[in-house]
Amino acid sequence: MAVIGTGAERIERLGRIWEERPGVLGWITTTDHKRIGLLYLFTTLVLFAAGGVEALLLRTQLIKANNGLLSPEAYNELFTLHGVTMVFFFVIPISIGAFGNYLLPLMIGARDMAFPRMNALSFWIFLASGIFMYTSLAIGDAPDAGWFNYVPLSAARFSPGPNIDFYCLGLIFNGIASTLTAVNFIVTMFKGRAPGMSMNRMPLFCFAFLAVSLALVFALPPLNVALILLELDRQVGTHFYDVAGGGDPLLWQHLFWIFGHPEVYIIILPAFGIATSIIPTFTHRRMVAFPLVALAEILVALIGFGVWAHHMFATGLPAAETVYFSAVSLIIVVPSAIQLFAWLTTLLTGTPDFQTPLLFIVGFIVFFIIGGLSGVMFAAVPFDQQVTDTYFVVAHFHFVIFGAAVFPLLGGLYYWFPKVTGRMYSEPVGKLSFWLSFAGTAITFFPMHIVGLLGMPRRVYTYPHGLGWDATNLIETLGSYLLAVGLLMVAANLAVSRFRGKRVGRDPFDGATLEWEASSPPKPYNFPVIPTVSSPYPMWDRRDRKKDERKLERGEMVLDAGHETPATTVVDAELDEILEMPSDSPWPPLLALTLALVFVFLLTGHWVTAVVFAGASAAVLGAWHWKEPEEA
Amino acid sequence: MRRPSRDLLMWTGLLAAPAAWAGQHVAGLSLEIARCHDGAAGAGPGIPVDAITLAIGVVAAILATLGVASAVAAWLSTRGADDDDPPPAGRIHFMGVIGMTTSPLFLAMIVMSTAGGIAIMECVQS
Amino acid sequence: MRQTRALPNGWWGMAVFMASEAALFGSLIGTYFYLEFTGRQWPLGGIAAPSVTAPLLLTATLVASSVPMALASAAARRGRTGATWLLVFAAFVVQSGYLAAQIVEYTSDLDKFQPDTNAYGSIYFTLLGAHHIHVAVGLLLDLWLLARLLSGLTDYRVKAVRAIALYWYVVTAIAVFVVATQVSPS
Repeated sequence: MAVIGTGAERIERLGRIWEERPGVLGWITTTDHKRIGLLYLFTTLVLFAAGGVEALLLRTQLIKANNGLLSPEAYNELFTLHGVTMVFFFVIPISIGAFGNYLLPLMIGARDMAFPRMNALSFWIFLASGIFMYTSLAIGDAPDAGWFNYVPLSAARFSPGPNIDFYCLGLIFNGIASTLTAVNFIVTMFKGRAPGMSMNRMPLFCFAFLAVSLALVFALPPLNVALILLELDRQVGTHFYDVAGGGDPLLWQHLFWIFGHPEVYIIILPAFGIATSIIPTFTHRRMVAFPLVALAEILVALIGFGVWAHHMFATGLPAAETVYFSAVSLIIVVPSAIQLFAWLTTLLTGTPDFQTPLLFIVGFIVFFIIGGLSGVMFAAVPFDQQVTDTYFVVAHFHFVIFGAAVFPLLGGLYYWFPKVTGRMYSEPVGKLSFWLSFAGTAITFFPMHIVGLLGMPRRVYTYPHGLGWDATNLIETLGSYLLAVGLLMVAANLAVSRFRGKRVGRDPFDGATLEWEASSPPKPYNFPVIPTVSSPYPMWDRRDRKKDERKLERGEMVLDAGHETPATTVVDAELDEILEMPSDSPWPPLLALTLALVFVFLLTGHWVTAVVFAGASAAVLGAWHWKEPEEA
Repeated sequence: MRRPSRDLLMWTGLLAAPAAWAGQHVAGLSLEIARCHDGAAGAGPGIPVDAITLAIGVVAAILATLGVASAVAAWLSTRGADDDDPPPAGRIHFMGVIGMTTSPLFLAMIVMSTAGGIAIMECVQS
Repeated sequence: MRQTRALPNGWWGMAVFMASEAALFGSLIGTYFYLEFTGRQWPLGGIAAPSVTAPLLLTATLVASSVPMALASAAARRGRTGATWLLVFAAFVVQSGYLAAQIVEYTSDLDKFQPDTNAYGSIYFTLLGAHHIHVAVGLLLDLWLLARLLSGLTDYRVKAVRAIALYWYVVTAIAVFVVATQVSPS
């Protein structure tokens, strides 16, 4: 029900209701999706730097033949940790934890996620899992069997130390955070959209994140099973993966890749979502074939579950099995091609304004085409068997994981920087940072195709003279230094502009989606009025935005009687009820702490203590749910 | 039989083909694993794997084709509508386009993998 | 009680989470059959195939407990606190009995063979163990409901009953598949 007052009074009341505790305590107990997004952003950037330093060390070791910078053992730990960090502790959390958390409620016209405290819990668990994993490096026992950790190398017999236990327990712990975030995103997108935003009017960014979340829900469990079975083999002596006991090492590979392949689509989908947000803004036209782009995003996630054994074409599987995976791997190109044609057509038929964000998207398109082409080559079993485990595959996946997944993240950092900070970055420095990063990426990773075809295997800590690999490796290493400079320039541009950039208003780029309606930076309650929506490009519907101004004066859908947000029906977003949302709470960080202790004691083998802390976690969950929302 | 509602057509057009493909993929792979692994507990040479693979493929293909047809019907029933229009017409039109595009792809995968599974007669390593 | 058209956020949260648990059990059951198809015999190492009657009877009891759960959900939506409490309690009693009997079966199986005997033992005890843990968690959820409902029904508690009822439907459905897998060699 509307409370009496003018528009200005309502705004002031909303501000008071949604204000959080000040200072550090406010950040620790926050449930505001924007603050949680920023916490994720800073944490993942630190972990990106760690993964980057690992990469530079690897490349420096490979700069010349027979180099002695790193021992084989150190090299193994570094390339394993590089892969694990970049996949689990950088690209996924920055995409869904930082970009997804900050932007999703804004894009759907909501005041917060469906489960604000669970959102905070995801972040604290993620942080704890990062500390857990990197403790292994600090004590000199980092995982060292590669990011995909094949048995029997990772079984107790060949890896007796705690390295692999860090890997298994750390990833199970990390997976809890991602699962909770995925649940939160799905329910938020199903039930939290502004009235009028039926499924056909949801922005493409949201379709991408819906696809990511659904994929995470179904992809993480096979990984968890793989990890749990491995830990059972290592700690309890079960026989899942050893042949003598009736097990099968290929079981690990099947389970891992049933997770692992959807994982790579989980990595790329947020990038698609960011690209499909930036392109319409900077070409000043709607996305061509909007329904086809939306479907392509969901389809890639779905079909991605059917291709996993194309990572196993060289393991001796029967041809009658691999043919299923070849068929699906060929078809999965189609949705990606649909998106590519839609983006390119939108660019060519719009009036593109090549500012920094759009430049990064162009770079993304170039790298996605190259990476995609080398990828589809792997769908042919004979070709795959020649180049698997060589630098050709290292080239392929870095083009898609780095070139295609990270470039939109960089573009997105620039694009939404004015929204988050209220200031503009330096455009000339931005452009330069793009060209340096683009050149660095190309110079580092393109030659890897060549040296891979010349036979250089992956995961070797050094190589001898005279195989024709020396010059290429030197070029790649120099390229990586150039890339590092480009990335540092991005960071410096944003860091300096945060304090010295020109101040801007709500919508400096004339964006189409609702985050540009909120102030820069947005207020804690995001919107004073729940927005009126009648298309996927709400900011370009001037009549609806005028309607919102009138609604504010009338007190309609201002929801200032409490800490409120609307819930709508799933498919057609008709208003269903007004919900009272929780505000800042100490329980999420506390629960993350008790859960972390469970994993620490599982690692050290103190089973009883671990169970005690599991009980403590249940108690914290009880305390969390004790206080109920006020009834209307 | 009453004419199916537009909503039912829309959901069938979206879900029938992916469901058919998922079932066929899992069932077909399971059959091949059972046939080709030499465990005595597996299917062994007794079970007519090729016949079953073909049967599963045909059923899945029929369901996927039904999906295509439903999506087309849903789309045709909302022909004048724009993708942006308010529900139900706009939403059904939008989902109809999606179903018409995705269902043929799933049908293609079903046909390709069934053909491949049958064409490869023995358990040779790939 | 407030009536809404759509299912509550809490119900959807539980539904999505249970989808992930279903995928977990799908992976475990897939592992079971994968090991069976690659094994030279099944069960391995001369272990006797499990009996059929006890598991099937027990599963039937668990399925039956869905009835009081469903009735509790309906009663809650109509605002009938006393009926809701009694129905949840009835379900709780049956579910606890089920778990107790299953634990007896599990420990008696452990006398015959162990998880580290061979891969059959490993997957047998892991699959069943995972299921029993989910039932135990469900019992804790029941106890929570029983405690909260002592101070009456609110819209929030109605949503909680519906969400926890959903938890039990999914765990029960998974139980059917787990037990079918367990007795498949027999």
